[in-house]
Amino acid sequence: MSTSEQTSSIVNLTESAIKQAFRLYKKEQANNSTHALRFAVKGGGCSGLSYDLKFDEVQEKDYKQFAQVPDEEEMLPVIIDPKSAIYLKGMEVHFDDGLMGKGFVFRNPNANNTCGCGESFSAF
Amino acid sequence: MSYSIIKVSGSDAERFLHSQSSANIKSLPLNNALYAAFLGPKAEIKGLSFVIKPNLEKNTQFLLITDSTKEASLKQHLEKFIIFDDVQLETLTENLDLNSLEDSLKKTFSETEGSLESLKNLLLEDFSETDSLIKLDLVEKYFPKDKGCFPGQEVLSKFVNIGLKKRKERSLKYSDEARDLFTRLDIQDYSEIKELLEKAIKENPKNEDAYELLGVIFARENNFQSAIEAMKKLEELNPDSIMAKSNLSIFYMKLGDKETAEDYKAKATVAQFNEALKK
Repeated sequence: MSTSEQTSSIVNLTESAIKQAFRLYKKEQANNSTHALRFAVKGGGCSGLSYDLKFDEVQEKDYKQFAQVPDEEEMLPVIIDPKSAIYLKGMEVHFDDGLMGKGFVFRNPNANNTCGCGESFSAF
Repeated sequence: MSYSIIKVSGSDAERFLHSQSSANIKSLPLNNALYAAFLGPKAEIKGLSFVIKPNLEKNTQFLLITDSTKEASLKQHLEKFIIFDDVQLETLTENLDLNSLEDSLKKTFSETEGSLESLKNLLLEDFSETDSLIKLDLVEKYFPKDKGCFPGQEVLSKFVNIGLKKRKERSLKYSDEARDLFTRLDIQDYSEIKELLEKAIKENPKNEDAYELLGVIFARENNFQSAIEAMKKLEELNPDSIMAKSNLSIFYMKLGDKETAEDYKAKATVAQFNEALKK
């Protein structure tokens, strides 16, 4: 591994995404204390790839990352399976609230096209 | 390399060569040829040859083309196994280069277009007494998967199975390492990752993960033609892969081929339905 390179998160969550996910995570923890927030990718959708978000058991091969929850001293555990990780690398996840909000939205900073429905994204 | 031709004749020639070599001699059609290895009990190479089944007079069953320097030892090896069989070995010509070998075969018989055509790419590897097909990376060339019993086969199969398992493990290690580099580091130059993926594919040409990541990397580099080639390989290895079809749809769209892109999008949808039905 090149030592000059910096290790980074696979997915970057915005403050609003972390806050919203953490609220849901706390509720989930009441029933399943070992669960973490799983990001997964499936083929399909208008931009080519669809995302899937759920609370799930951590698997040995999962990539794990932690997001600092704003204004809290807690961390949100995030897991990504290896197959999905190659598509999610560099993605930004935002929570779009408000009256016309689309919920969790995946943004690719390098993609020219973005999805209108908010349910899919382009990795290229 | 210079070549010699050994004529194998006699009513048992086909059965004899089939039982002594790594090749499927019995399924070789007339006017065709194939590569055959002759092995010792420890699977060490005793001879490598290109076997032609010519449409000649009845008594000539096969012609073995071999490295001239190995011709005597191959004959000696084979003669040890001719006991009650009606098999004769006779060296027809020696020390021919590829052109004179072709001329010699043309003069000998005229209806071997198939085998003469493949002579243009003839390649018989050099080997030492202790070399094996595995060591020289020649298993695929000389050892068809459906071939039954022949001297050295049991040992060879054992090594092939152990070797394949190890190669698959090494391949997975390379592709996992490549994915870790790709997902964990902020890098723009993917050459180190591509090198790892090439190694992974060399160790196991059926490593689906390696082709998928290679396609993703090519796409990130805006090299969509190469990305398509990698994803088509993934689709070939796994015809049910939804990601291969989804990616191909995106890549063709990037190249402006909307028709093919739509076609792959439809295929991805069908694959998704099929997967949902399985659950």
